[in-house]
Amino acid sequence: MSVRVDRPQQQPQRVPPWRNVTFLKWAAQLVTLVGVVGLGYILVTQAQENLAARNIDVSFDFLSDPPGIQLAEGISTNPDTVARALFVGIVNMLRVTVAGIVAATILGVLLGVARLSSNWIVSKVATVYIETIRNIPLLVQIIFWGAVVTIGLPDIGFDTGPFGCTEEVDGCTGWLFASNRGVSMAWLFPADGFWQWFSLMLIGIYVSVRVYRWRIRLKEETGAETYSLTWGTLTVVVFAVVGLWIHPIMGFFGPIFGALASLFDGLPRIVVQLVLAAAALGGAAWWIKRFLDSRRTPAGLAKLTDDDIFRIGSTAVAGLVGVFIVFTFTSISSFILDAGRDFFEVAESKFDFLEAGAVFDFNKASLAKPGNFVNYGPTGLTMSKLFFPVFVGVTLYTAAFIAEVVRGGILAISKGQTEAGLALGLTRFQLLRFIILPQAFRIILPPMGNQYLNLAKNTSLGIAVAYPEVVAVGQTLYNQTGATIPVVTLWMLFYVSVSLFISAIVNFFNNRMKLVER
Amino acid sequence: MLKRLSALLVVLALVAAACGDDDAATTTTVAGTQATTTTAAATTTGGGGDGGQAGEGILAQVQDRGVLRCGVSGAATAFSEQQPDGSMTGFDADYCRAVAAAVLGDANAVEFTALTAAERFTAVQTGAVDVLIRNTTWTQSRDTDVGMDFGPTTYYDGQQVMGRTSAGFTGQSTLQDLEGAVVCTNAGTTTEKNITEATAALGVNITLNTFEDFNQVMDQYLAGACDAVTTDGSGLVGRKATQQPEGEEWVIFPPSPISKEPLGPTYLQNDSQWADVVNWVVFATIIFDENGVTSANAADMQANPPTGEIDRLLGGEGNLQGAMGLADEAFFNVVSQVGNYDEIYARNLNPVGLFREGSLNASFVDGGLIYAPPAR
Amino acid sequence: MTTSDITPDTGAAPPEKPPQGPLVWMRENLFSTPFNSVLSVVSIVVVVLFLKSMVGFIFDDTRRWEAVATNMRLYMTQAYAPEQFIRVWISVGVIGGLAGLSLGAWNVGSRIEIRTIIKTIINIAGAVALLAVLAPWGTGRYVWIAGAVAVGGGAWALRQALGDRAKTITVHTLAVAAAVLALVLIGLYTIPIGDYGFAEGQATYEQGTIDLSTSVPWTVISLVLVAAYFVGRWLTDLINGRAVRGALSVLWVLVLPFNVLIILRDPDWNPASEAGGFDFLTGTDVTIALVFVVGGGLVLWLLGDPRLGEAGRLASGVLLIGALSLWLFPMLIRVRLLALLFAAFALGAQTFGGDMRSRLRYAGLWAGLSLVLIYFLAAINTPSSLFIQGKSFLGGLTLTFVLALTSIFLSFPIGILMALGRTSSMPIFRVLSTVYIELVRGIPFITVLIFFDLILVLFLPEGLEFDSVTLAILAGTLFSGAYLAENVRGGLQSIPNGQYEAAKAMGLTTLQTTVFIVLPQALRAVIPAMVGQTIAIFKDTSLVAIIGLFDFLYIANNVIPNQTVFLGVRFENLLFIALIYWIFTFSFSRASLRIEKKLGLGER
Repeated sequence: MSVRVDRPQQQPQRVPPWRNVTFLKWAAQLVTLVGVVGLGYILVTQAQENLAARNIDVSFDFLSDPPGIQLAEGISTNPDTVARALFVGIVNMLRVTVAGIVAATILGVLLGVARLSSNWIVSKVATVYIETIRNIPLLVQIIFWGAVVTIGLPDIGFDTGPFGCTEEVDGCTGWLFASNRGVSMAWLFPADGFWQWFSLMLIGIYVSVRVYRWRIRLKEETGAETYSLTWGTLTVVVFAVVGLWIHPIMGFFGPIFGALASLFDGLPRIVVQLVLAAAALGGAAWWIKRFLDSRRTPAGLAKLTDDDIFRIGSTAVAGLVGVFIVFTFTSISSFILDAGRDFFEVAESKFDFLEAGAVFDFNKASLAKPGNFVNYGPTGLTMSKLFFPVFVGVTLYTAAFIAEVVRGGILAISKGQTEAGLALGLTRFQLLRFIILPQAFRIILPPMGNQYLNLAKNTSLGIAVAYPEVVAVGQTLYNQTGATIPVVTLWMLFYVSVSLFISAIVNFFNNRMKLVER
Repeated sequence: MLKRLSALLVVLALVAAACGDDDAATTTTVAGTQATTTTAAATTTGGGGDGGQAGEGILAQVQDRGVLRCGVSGAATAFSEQQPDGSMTGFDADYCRAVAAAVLGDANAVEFTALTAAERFTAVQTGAVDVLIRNTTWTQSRDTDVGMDFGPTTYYDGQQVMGRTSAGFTGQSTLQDLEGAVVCTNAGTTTEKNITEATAALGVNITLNTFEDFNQVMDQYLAGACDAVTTDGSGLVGRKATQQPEGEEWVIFPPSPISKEPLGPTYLQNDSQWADVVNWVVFATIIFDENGVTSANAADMQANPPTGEIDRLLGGEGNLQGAMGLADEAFFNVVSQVGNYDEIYARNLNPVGLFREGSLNASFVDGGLIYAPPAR
Repeated sequence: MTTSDITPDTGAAPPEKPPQGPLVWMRENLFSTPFNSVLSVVSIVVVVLFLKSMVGFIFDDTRRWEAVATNMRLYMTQAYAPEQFIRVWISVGVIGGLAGLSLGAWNVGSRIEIRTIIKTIINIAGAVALLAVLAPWGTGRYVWIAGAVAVGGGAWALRQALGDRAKTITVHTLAVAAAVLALVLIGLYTIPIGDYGFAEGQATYEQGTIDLSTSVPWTVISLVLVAAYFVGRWLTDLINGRAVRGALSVLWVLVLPFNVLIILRDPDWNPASEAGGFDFLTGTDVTIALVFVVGGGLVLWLLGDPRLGEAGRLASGVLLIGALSLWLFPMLIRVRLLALLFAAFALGAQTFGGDMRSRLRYAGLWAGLSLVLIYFLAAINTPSSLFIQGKSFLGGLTLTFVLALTSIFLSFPIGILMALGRTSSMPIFRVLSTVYIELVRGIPFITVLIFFDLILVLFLPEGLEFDSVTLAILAGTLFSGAYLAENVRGGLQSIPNGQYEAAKAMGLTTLQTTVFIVLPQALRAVIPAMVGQTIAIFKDTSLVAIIGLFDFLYIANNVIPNQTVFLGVRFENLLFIALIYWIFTFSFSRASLRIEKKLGLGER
């Protein structure tokens, strides 16, 4: 419940402004806003002065310059532009995040259940693990793993296993190599037809959800077992398999994207400005209309209070400020045009394969000896020795927290439910599957989402062990170019979007769960 | 409530004042310190600060203050290490002491400020340190760009590579032999760039792994995860001497380093009086070395100077130091309290396996580059 | 793991079980089903192997633990001037004394059954014996095993001898703690750990006990702690306990700035010193203090008069405008800040004034607060007389603690304000605080640190500079402020609407409702979450090592491995700091659990 103060009563005569609560509140808000904006303005002008004096460039032009650095691992280790280098860092960060989330969830759930186990030693081991890991700073742990993690693994060579080369020659391939250089394994890589197939899959998922709901409805109507989950899964599988051959039918997206690209290319800037300005004004107008509707009573429009008038006024002003910004900072519109053109050009190139090409490239890992040294070849999915300290660190650390979340969730289910379930003749598995987990899941989902968010943010500590994720790459880049402000801005944008994305997913599931509650 | 609070405050104030008085009496020679103004600047007036640079040269400031502020690394083996007792030792730290001995007559009147690579130049520009002696490479852009001047080189370093003989490396190996290797290095401003540029120019493909600290690099190398490591030669020699395990043989190559890294003192631009002082402290240690004046025989030498040059440097004829704004005995203090170049070198760098013979840091008489202009 | 392992447990104490032998216990807890038996055997094998390799690693001959022992001073205080080291001991002693007083004043502790103590002793002896069996100690291990068996056996025999009385005889927990403390102190003087020193560039080692320069201060501090406990008990009996506890709370707030700024930093008040010093008579700070403390208090007392009504409100408005306009003239920044704070106080004068007592209390609050602030600001602006051989007089574990505590303390006002803003009905406040909270929570701490370390300076006018410790504190404050705000918001949302309505019915203003009704309840409800945040920020301070501050981690990871004597020694140092971090966070979280239970909070 928020702090709400009722609107002042209607009084016969107007109160003087210094006694009018509404007026004072709005005055305070406006003063604060002006203060914040003014402070920002002062800081920015000061920064412009300082930057000019120190000859520091804050534009993003350097993104297309050659970076002059090598990256230790990633989708390309010799990026040709700064932007590409940062993108490699982003992919590396996402790699370790996704791998970490999967591993930490499995380990965390196991530990959480183990801590509640009736087996004394199992529960003690889980307790000691949790209390040890979560009370030591993650950075210390990551640095420690960086120092020990490759010890014990063999040196790299053509005899590297465990599922290594059949013939020990240059360029030999195998399924899985593990050495003190890291791990390289066979993997499916997206190929030319991937995006066409992927868009087909999106349709498939949509259809499968419809099928699933239809089967559920059928079950509710008839009471018969309808195998809704099986039906839904099968639909997706059918789309996935058939899509391997028929994905060129999605090729029509290519010309559409092409047309959009040329549209963005040819559009004059004023059009974008007008659209944006209309959006700002329209948004404000829409809000005001909705607000007025909410004040409408059967007896007509209620008399607007001072507070209402201030609200409407500030919304209108915000709309006007939006229009002002759009027309003053023309670079925003230019950026939208350029970014849109580039985006659709890239998209067009992804949808240009009218023959049923490969959707995936399946590559085995390989060992190569380009000079005097054996190393992993470029074909497999390689996670270097730098990947592991971060991966092991964030996984073990987050698992300890997830274990506590899971334990809390299970404990929150009252004991009576277990007893009732057993009395009904449910097996232990059925009890867990149908009684405890569905309820526990609802409780643990929001804190679990927070743990995933923390994990994603904590991968930034890879900087301490030289894992080339986005922060480490960014730091190397600004050390080379001096472009601290753009790099830090990009970091913040990236992490905020990742955070918003993860919380959006968690919120989506959270809402679904709430619906189940009914 | 009010009464209790105010009584409490009075007590606190008395205790504090008492503490302050006691200790001020025992350490009156020591002045306020930049290092301790943790939050001071946040609350003083803009532009106030505690420098008072206006119109006054750094030499006068240091003499007024009674203590030299010297920027060092604090985590650079043999150059500036913070020791278990909190003291700062090393080649760079000793040159800080030499400057203090010359300017203040007391080699221990140095306040060391440990600086990271990123913040060191700002510290010089803002006057937070009087002189920066933090294994800093003298380059054209740093000399012109960032408002600093460089003093004479005290240590000639150069980037090299270290690998195992079992991998086929010899002392005569070249960068071409690195084809396909995983090379590890520490994140620095120049090492990373040097190796990238050098291998790219030769068309050699390497995988470069960059770590924050050189100890991480060595851990990876020891575990066999790197085929070779690269950094300044001085660092490699030290690691080879102390960390090479039984049954392994490490070699350092190529014989001529892939980069030039002249290290020396750095100070604020356009204060030539201060520049002269720092430069001539370095030169004096070199001249003393050339003439065999050591901390042990400095007093004898002062009494019976072998040459006119030594006489002038030790404060005899000529009043050359006085003209610089120093005491006549300034360089005598340097050599008697800190030592000559050879002593400073041997004390700090010999323990990690770095020797002058045959290196660039031998005296010019022995074919090295250490050379000082004459004192007259 | 199967479903049979789950025994949902409400955490209630199990009913008293009849005594059972170890075999029965093992059958019930380890081998109840075939699956459980397999699980137990596998777990035991894994645990033993893990412990063996771990212990083998720790006690391996090639480990150089003397790197940790020799560098202990560096770890704790980095480069604090050796001849002034007494100041470090005094600051620890101040905390010890305060802790003792508080233990007494709050009458902490309860009675525990003697069998619990005996059980703990047997467990410890068992652990030591296990360690000795697994460790690569050669024949030396038998001494340890024999000792552990003797102690454990003795304890067991005592338990048998006591029989049922073991449940009825109880001991005060503080007595147990004192006994342990006494044992540790005796150990300091008797156990031949040896003395690790450093001289002439070499690490030295002397046989014998720990140097007296270490053991004597700890003894004195322990005695101070114990004595202060009895003083605390005596004071609470003498005066009313609430007053003592209130005064102690104020002291706890003051102890951090007092220790850091006054004792450790040692501002050079002496006017005769060469550094310029501080002149008590003509110093600006005395003038400022007179104007703000005395004059300000008087003004607040006047403004609190309810008869002033509108005029009072207008006057405080004028004061606010005046305080703001000070920023247009060249002036000491601390005067401007004090003036702003004073104007904020003046705005509240009408709300918190009223009868003579409240007016006096409000004016007194201001006088005390401003006096403390001016005193500490003056200390900050007075040059220190210390002779530091590093970056700052704070370093190592001291720096870690100062960073964590200062950040969490300063982030309280931000957190509370932002939480109020986010739950406010005023849209602009709501938007501003939401943007701040979500932005900060969306980015990793390291990017915030780098922003403050590298970029903030570009936004500041020339001459206004912060050193890196201050910047790290600022970053930590703003960062944890956002997280605290979310915690406080949770508390605010737990306040039922009826409270607001009741307050309004009583005629309280919004400000009064917030300060007197809502915040006390909300803050109490979120104490566990705030303790969690404190632990988190304590762990997060280790990130300042990445930007090169000489904190605990930086010394272990960067400074010691670069000493010629201990070149490349890292495992030992990392394990050591991990242990220290663990001890502090673990005991802190345990303590918070206890407080939580005592307050009856955090129950689902």
